[in-house]
Amino acid sequence: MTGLRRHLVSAGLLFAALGALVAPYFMWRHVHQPVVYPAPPREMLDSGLSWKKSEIGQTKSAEPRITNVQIVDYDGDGRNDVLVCDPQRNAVLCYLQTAAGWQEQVLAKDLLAPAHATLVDIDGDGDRDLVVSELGEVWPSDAVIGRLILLENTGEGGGFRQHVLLDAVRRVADAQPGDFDGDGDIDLAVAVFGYARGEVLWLENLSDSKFREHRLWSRPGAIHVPVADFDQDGDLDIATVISQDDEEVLAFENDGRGNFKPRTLFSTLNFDLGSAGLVLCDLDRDGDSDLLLPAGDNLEENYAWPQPYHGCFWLENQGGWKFETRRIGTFGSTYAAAAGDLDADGDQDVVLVSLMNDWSDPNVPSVVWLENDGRQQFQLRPVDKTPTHLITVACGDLNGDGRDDIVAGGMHLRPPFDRTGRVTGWISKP
Amino acid sequence: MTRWQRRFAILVALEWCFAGAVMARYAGQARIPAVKLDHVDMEVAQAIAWHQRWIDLSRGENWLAMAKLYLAYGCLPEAEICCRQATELAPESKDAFYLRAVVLDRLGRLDDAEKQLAKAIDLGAGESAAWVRLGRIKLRQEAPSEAEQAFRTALKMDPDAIVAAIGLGRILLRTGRPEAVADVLSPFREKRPREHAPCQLLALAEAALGHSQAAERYLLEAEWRPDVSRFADPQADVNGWAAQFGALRFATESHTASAAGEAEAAATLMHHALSLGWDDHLANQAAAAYLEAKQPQEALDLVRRTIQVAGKSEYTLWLEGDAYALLDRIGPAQDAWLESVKLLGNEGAHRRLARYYERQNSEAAQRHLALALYFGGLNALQAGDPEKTEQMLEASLDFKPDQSMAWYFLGETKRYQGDAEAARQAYRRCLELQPEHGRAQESLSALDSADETGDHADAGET
Repeated sequence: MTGLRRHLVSAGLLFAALGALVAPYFMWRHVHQPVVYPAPPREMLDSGLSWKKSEIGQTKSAEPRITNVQIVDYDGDGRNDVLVCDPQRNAVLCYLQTAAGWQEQVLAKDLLAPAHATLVDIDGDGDRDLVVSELGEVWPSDAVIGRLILLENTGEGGGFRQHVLLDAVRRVADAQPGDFDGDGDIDLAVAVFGYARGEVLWLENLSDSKFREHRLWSRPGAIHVPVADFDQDGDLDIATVISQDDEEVLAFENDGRGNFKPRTLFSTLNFDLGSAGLVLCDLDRDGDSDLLLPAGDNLEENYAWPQPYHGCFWLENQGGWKFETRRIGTFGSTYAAAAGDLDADGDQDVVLVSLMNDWSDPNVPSVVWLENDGRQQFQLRPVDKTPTHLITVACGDLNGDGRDDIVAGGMHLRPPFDRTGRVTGWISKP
Repeated sequence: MTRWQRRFAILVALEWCFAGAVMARYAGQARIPAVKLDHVDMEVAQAIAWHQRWIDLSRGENWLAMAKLYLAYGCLPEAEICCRQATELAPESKDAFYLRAVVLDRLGRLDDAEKQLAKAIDLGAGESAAWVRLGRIKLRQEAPSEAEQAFRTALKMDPDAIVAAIGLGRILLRTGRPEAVADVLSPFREKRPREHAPCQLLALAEAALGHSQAAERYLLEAEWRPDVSRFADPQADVNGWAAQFGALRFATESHTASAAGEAEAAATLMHHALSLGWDDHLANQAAAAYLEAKQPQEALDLVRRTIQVAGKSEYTLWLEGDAYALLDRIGPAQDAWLESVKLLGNEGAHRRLARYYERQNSEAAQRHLALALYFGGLNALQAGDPEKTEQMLEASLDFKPDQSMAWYFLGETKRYQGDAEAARQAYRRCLELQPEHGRAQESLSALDSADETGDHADAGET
């Protein structure tokens, strides 16, 4: 063997020896390199409509926390405004639409976790007062830290005088007005959500900002108390959704004099359904009051996951206290719903928002709309994927084009915090 | 080839045989699923990365360990993949099938979860918690008969399984069998005197049977039971796994240090926990720990940040006041405490204001002391301690008798203790001060109804 060939053989053997040492290492590294297992593709229709997205209000916050948004014409100028409950600022705010854009007005401050603000002329003096439901704490708590506050409009430059209507109760989530005892003044239905203990009350107006509370139900988890004449007998009844471990929709049938009889409109044995609200609407436009039940509260686990039974139910009022329940949409971690005519075709569509969906997937929508075909058959269409963690939604025509727009509020309590939003509007585009 | 080259060639051949055997071992192995870790803190991410790099993927128990880690930090689809590997590599491992059932349960894949759970039970994972889990899955599938069977099995295996009893109670109520609820839940009313769910469900059962007095009694009893039992599965201690790393670990160690009286160590540990990831509750605990460790400036900085993130609360303002007081800035301290009680009355801030006003304004001091005692009484009521509630409310009313709510809650306390006459007096005093007080009126009516039927059993009796 020549010298060169000998050297070549030696070099070859050396490389082979090194290769035998290195190859298993690379194989080990390859196997220990985590690999993405792709999630099954999500099929979704197209949006069907287009919107211009805008942030309403200029307040910057890394992890915004809004509990409620509503679309109302607050200043009576013919343009809708946005009413916001902001526990981070301990305030109820109104974003007024002006020619110059959104103008913030603080309606009330020094409020402890306001959950809902109801505009109502409670004293019958021609101006709108504000009834604020105070949770006392956004996080779960069974303490008696809730309150119901009346901010009486003094008529002097938008000022309010505060009265505490309800004190030393558990967390108060909602209050809605109605004359329940037929005496001509405005009473209030109240949802005391609590946590492990709670109740549903109605407050009898005794005038001079004095109210007497009456207990309707003693269970935790009352979220909303929509008021309507469900049985069309001329008086106002109260509905409520009892979540927590009950998952029932109840109605309290009024005899016209403030005496109530409970009725169960919906119940399920799935005590983990996660009822998240109750919305009054006339979805089929037949002149009676139906209810929408968004379901998707999955906050009992630290790392929540959307469930296949989350979505929205329509409780169709068929008269005589018969309500038929139909699922109209399936959407993970649905936390709020609002009805509106988004496509201006004369029927009621529904918007849903999601709080704790699978946000690790950037393609998961946070807002969707259920397009009504006119016969109450619904198709789910995406609106947007950001911001995430949406807890409240409202529909109303913000730009006066005859189509309802969407406003949603974000509650960023848990990660990820890469797509946050405080109060976001989706304004319809032609 | 030379002789040495031939020997070297043999060595290299052997080396390649060995390398080939090692690579063949790895060749068929599944790979670890990647996870996004931007939702966890740096230390948790590092722990997960370490496990990903160094575990032996040929062993089922290692895939199971990886699954637990992923499950603890919310990477559910990836945890399911790891569990699947674990069950394939260790087909006789009940733990692997059980954990896979847990993950599938969390993912909402209930049919699959049920199958895995059944397999786990067949392999010997037959503890009571497994049956409770099956019952809960069945409820989510709206299959009440099977859920009922599962809960009954759980109770047979463990008569103290309160979550099973509560589940069974709810099914009985929903399926129109309120008369059967007492048998299931009455033992827990006695065994678990602080648990409110048994009394709540017994109240519903009695109401369904038309026994309104009994229902009212159970409801009153439930008011004094503050505890909530959540399903705790020792075979799936997700919270325990999550607390091994990162912010939660430091928070846990901080609590231990605080309990041992090591205030400074507790504050440092909690600060480190917060540096890894913000959490409102941890922030308040950290501020309190700093105050205990006499580090008021650090507490103040933290409170200000908490207010920025979460808004003001009566507790953060109270802490702010304490921090200012430790810094000898009494004016701002007083302002913070006053703002705290304006937002929501609380024992802590009122007590501090009472001390502050002691020398200057005895009337204000007395008022704040009365309110401190009142809110202390509410705290005691919340904690289910009627004796302390009574003591504090009576002391409060001695200082300030015109508190309608204090009279109302004293009445509730007396009613719970079975002292109907004292309760009646308290409600009447409340109504004298506030005639529109509906709850006092209702409670008085409840007492009068009980009088008529002669039904005055002490709600606190078992």
